[in-house]
Amino acid sequence: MNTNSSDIILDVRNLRTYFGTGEKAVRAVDDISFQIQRGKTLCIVGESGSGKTVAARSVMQIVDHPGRIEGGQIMYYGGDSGQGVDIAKLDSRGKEIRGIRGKEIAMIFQEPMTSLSPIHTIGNQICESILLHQKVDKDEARARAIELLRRVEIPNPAVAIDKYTFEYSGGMRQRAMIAMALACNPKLLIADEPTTALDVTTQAEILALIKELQNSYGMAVLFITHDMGVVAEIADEIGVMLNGKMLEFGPSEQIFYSAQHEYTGKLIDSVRKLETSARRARNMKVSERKLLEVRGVSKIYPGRKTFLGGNKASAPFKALDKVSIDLYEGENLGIVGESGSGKTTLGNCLIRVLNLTEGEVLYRMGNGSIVDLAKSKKSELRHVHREVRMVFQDPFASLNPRMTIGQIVGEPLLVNKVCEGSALRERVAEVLAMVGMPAQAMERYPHAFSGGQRQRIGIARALALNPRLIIADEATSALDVTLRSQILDLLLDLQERLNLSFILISHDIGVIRYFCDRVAVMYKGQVVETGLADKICGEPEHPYTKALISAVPGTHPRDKRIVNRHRYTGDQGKAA
Amino acid sequence: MSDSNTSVASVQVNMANLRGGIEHASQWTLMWLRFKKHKLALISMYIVLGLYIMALFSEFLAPFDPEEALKSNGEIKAKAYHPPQPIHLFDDKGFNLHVQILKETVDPVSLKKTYVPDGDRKIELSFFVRGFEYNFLGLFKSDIHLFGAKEKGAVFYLFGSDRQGRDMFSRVIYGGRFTLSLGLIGVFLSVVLGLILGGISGYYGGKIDWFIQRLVEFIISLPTIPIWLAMAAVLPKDWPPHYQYMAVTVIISLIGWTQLARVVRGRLLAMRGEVFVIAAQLDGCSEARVIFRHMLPSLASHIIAAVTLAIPMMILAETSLSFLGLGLQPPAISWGVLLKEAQNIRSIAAAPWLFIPGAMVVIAVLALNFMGDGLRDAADPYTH
Repeated sequence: MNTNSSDIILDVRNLRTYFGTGEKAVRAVDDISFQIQRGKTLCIVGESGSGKTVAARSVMQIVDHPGRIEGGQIMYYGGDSGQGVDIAKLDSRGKEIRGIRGKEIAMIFQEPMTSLSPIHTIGNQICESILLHQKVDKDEARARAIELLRRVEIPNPAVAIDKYTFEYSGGMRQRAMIAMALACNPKLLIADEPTTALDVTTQAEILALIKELQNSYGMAVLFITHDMGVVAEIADEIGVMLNGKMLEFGPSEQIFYSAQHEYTGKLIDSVRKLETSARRARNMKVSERKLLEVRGVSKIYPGRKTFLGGNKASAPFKALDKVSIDLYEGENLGIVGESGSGKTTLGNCLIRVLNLTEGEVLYRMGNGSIVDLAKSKKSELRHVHREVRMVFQDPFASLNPRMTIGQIVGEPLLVNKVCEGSALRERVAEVLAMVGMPAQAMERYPHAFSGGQRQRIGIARALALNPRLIIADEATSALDVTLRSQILDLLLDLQERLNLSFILISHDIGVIRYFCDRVAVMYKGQVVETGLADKICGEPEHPYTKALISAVPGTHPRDKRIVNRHRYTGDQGKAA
Repeated sequence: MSDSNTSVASVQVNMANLRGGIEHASQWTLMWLRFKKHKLALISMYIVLGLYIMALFSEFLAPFDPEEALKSNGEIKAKAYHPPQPIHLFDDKGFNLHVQILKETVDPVSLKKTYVPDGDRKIELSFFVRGFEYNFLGLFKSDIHLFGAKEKGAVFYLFGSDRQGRDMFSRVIYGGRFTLSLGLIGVFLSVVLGLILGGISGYYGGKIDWFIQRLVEFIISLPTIPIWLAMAAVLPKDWPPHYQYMAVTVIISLIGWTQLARVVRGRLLAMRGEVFVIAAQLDGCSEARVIFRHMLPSLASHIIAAVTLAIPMMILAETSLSFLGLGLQPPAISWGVLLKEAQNIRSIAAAPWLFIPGAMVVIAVLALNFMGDGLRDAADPYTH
């Protein structure tokens, strides 16, 4: 790199952080080097387990026990003297490192709820940080805290300062965390997946905020993420990590347009792939016959009564408000929305895990008869559940850890008395083969498999009974990006072979665009727009959809979308 | 692993990340692997096993009849408060298991009895000797004992003797049978009650749950010792020992089930919302199958851990009741009954070995507690 060395604020050389000792030590960070320049953003990108978080935590010397910095240098050039300090050499509980933590280098975390104290007001927590590092009195600190909250665009900061963490929404909490991090004008901000737990529109707000604050404060930012889209939006420089190694390190455009490493290319491709539609590429036909007709479905959670039976504790909550959608045979319908929009509730109501308050769900059975799922009895539901199956979000929670894969996949066959004994084993092996798992997997327990493999097993369980409709609730969102498109391709392959229809519930526009023919956009329990996937993702009509689509990060550094995003304020309380 | 991979799907699955060896391991194997790492728990488990084996084979292990006041050949009366005689492994002839004979001398001034070694006189011991006749677990008659004096009719006291000159060693072994088995049976009753009531409470929820939980709270709020005392006081004193025994067990377990019911309810409530349980319901499983095939196996390890931690409570309860004279009554022997002998200061001063049953209670309770802790940690192999 041909930059002047005085521009570098953090110079990490040959950093090694191991967990455990000796031969068995896990090399979480294995000999990585990178530099961060003053006022610039370095993104470290990698999949889960690549060591990116440990690398960031090493810089602050806050690696969890038994992890330990084994070797290497972390030179910090931000101090007042201008002399470099090797953070790796400092005592992790010493005075010097505490002077750097929070004051010189600040950190924000992925889950703001757990990193903020629930029993202190937001203001107290920010003030404490100010009082700890700066010589000011309490009133001064409070005034500064209010100013900080105003800077991070929290509405009405003078009131918001005295509120508790639980009174803030997810986005507000992350803003408060940022305000806390900024309390002492740090020269380097480490952000560890700060937007991963947030909705896409909120993510856009937070990214824009970090960018704006960076410009006005002149901070350097070390941004840890797994999302190439986010990287494309904000990075000046990029480091790609895999299995504790730094595969590539360089300026953003160089990485994006002329990646040296195959893995980097794969990461970028897996994001760009989701910019296209696989359904159109595969030239899939949708039949004219309706498979599922949802008419005016509502789900209302009654308000809680107070202890003595009075009715003022909380108002009834409308999770679904007169939702109507259709699904044709062979079609892939996407349901997209932010958290709390009711999309998962809708999925659960369609398969009757939840009972609906009103409306009808008309399903055309394989034999041609039409069943209203909303009113069917248990025995009737059992027949329907042989045709309508579900794939769940969390591949770890959805497989019973006490059963072997063979038992898990065979369970629906067994309880529906389809087959048993050696016929059962054959069928299970057949279904496992369909999802690309070897028959030996049958004898094993779920803990022997990775997330992606478990999700395949979950799909195999859904396929066992030859279903006609599969409801996939966020089936890919717990997986790494490279696995995500693999699983989607697998589902599409199966669809071609087995004549399936899908309802895919997701918050990820990319996944929806890639996988679905039609999309229903949900917002606060209502379907605000339905239409063809290309149309919704390309030229949405409803202002909310516009805001949603424009908040999706781009996939090229030259295509910065978040800056030009459309903001939806049509409804009160939407301001993140 | 991949040679017979009959993948039809377009994507090959990378099986390389399967961890070698433990991928076939069932939950129980994982639990055992984890439990083994907990050294203290492992040692405790062997102690507990040893104690229960002792309880099972009391007749065979005890050298003397616990009820008989021992008189050596030709003596007129049994030796009360005879001190313990340790076993010696060697004498001048080499390896030779024996105890030294102690001679009773009376201090002419204070009339205090003291026991001193009687020269070189000794009683030789050997294995598998014939002694008192017993009916082993009601199965067959025998008079073979693990060890005893070579010379027929010779008497020795490993743990000393009690007020009536009975062998404490044999009595401790017999006492263990009552106390330890009472712990097991009591816990079994508690588990049955706790599982049923806790299960109903947790799975169905609603009004039944409310009612059962209030009942549990009511029982927990009762002061235990007075309740036990009251219930035990109602028992007819002239009941034969095994009636008494069952009655005491029932009394103790009537209180003990509440904790278990809470554990079971909590776990079931938490598990009812688990995705794999919903998946099982969507697979078409009946309610019974969801509970017994999918939910209970996940609970089993927790229940075992809870049970192991409940046994010591039962043992302590029995000991305290019997110590207070309201549990088992002599001639039944339990550690609590034995400890009753150590109630007055005179016997403690004269014969501190009467406390040995107390030491046994401490060992048993500690071992069970450590083992329970280890089991509880091992019960969930996925947490660290």
